[in-house]
Amino acid sequence: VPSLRKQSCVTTLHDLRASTGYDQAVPLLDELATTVATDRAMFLAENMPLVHFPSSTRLQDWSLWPAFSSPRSRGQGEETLDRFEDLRLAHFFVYAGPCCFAQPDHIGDAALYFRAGCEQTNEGAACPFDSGSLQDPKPRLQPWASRDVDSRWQFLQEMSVPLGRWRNAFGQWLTACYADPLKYLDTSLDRYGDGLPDSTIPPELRANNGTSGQLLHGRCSDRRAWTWELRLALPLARREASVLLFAAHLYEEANKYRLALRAEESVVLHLRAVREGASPDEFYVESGPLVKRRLFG
Amino acid sequence: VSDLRAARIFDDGRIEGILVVGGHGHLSHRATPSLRSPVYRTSDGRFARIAGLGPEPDIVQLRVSDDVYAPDAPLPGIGFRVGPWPANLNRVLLTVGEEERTNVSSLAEALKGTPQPTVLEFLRWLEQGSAESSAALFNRTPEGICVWYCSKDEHLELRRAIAKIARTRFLEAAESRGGSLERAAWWLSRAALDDDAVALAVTGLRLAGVDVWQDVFADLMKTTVGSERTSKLASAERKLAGVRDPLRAARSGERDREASKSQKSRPKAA
Repeated sequence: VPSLRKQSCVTTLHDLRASTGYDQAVPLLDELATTVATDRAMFLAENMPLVHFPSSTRLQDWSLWPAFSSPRSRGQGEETLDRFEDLRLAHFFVYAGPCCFAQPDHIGDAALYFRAGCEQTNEGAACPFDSGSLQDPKPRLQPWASRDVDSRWQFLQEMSVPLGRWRNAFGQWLTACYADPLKYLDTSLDRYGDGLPDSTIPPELRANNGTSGQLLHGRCSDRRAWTWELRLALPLARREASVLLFAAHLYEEANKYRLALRAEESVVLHLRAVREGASPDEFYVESGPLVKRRLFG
Repeated sequence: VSDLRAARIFDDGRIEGILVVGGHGHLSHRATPSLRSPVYRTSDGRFARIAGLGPEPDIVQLRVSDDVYAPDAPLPGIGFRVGPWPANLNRVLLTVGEEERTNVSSLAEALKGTPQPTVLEFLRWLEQGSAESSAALFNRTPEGICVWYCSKDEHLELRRAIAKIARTRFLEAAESRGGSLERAAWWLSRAALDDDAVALAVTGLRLAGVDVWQDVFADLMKTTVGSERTSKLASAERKLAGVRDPLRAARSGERDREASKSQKSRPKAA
């Protein structure tokens, strides 16, 4: 089973079964497919790196930061009664796997991946979608988008898990939502269809967002409706950084950043370049294969 | 209400109602030449990204921002302002900086055949160092980086010249064994248009003690065939050895040829 975990070409054993052309139940293959999928889900959950993207910080400023921390701890944002805004100001946000958290007005050309486990000593919570998509003035997570702010807040609380338990919850979620959990890492230019789970918890998330959500509502959430978000209350140390993803023309600059970090702390920061002139969409497309390579070699 | 909008593409590639108002990413003289992803703005003040083409051949799908921005508002995130210019799918956003400006006369000489007048005009503008160009799609940013929203042909013509001069400067730096080898190698790595040039730049980085040379090699080489990659690197090493120590390289080459000759003349084993 562990050797099958890494086979990206075999969509577990469902394909193998289909290729036999035999439509009756094959208990042994079915059982093996389930075992492989569960093993793969738990492996992904335990090892999934976390991404900070898009960067609203320049490469050279990253090297000056003592740590990656919430806007409020950096002296930004005033007290607010808006619970969603307060959540945003009080946390540093990272996401599990693909760097899909970019809006059309997010501008930048670098993303930072942190190794799995960097969140262990932190405090906060995680949930299987983008909490910002529930925030006023224009929430887009359907069907909650049209509901009042109390309902949206309550839904977020119900779906959130404490940070200490999130990897276990993520593994269970992957097993429950995908026949092949590796699909979670699919990235193409189709943000509304990528990584579409076979089912979601609750089912309304899948039915009302992504490709089918566009048909139903027009405005809805893309794959962020099924991509895990982590909200870290404490600063994340730079030494946890793992991979810097950037546009190819920034290699010299990125290397300077890597060297500056290494001089101060025991950082192992790998560099990976995306095509020259890459847009945030191409970063997103590249991030799936990047994470797969990091996980499976 | 969806965040997707359709816009018409004219025959010359212009996108109806869309402007280029900036470029994505960090600007630096150590990051040129480079192509940048353009920042698009709609006529009602929203930022837009191209989500795809179709369903008709003359339609482009744009994903637009929820928020509206004033024309002179700072760009959200990391980017730079240029233009505004009419968005055109046949154009690319090229940045050039200090290295290119220092070598501007060599670049003009390196242009092959009959250069496009616009390329010559850009190089003249680059040389004169004036802040703005009256008519053409050129801008100089506060960092001193020059940005040209040029056609793909213009880009290719200029980039070929830059790649050629970057290679020449790199080989000069290698020959003189000066401290500028690393800088020249980085410039060549950005200017390179083919794998031979990338391999040469990477060999220079290795000789200059840049420990990420293998990452650069892995990321920038276009060919994915392992044997081709190895052979390009070996060839670049021979080329550089020839430049740095021609006599030794010639002797080594003779030895290789002798070895290969004796290998060929040896009878094949049964």
